[in-house]
Amino acid sequence: MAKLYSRKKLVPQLMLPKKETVYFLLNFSKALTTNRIGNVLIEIIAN
Amino acid sequence: MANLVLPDAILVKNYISGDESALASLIDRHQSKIYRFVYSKVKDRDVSDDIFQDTFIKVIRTLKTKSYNEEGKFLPWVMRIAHNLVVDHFRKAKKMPFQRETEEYSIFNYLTDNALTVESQMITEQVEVDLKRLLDELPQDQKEVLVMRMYQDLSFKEIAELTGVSINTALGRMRYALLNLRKIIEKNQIILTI
Repeated sequence: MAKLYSRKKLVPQLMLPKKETVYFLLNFSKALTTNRIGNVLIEIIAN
Repeated sequence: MANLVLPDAILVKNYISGDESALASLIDRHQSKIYRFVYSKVKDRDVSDDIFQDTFIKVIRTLKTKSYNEEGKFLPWVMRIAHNLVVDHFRKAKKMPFQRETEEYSIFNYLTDNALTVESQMITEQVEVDLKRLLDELPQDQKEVLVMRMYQDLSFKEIAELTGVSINTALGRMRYALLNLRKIIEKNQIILTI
């Protein structure tokens, strides 16, 4: 039977960002509203 | 109950319409792939988190401003943003390399500081004060030439014109000034070194 060669994985299969990072992104998205007036784009981040 | 798996295009459309949970689904679905991609380049978890965060901030901004064109390529688009941010990270790191001290290697073994220490500075100032006192011991004409040459950086031609003598006389006065200074220093056993 032929030998099976497989490339060693350099990065573990399951790697996730920190929960705080994802949490921040979701909150950022909820807080952000945008308004375009002509050529001007206004971003409002509500606290 | 059937589990409905919405395609990315629908989730994006829902998110743009105001459904925040669609963003959570998108992040949940793709976070591993994007994060692993970034980590495979930068090999640092904290930096990977930063780049991941910056990637999705750009995604959120683009979707919220309705600047995104849905062509069924959401993931390749996000990966492209992540890739560009990785490139930016390396460019910045190249311009401002960050050195980490380890037991084997310390940057301070190689960095030199040519500035005078406080002690050297104090000695220099003391030497200058002593030198000024010695100059006062010289005859006036010799002192004048020496001061003009050393402290005012005038040429002998300029000194000769200002003092109303010939250049040779100015040169001679300078020579005698230095000889007399050496005699005074030797006679009084003064040390003037930094």
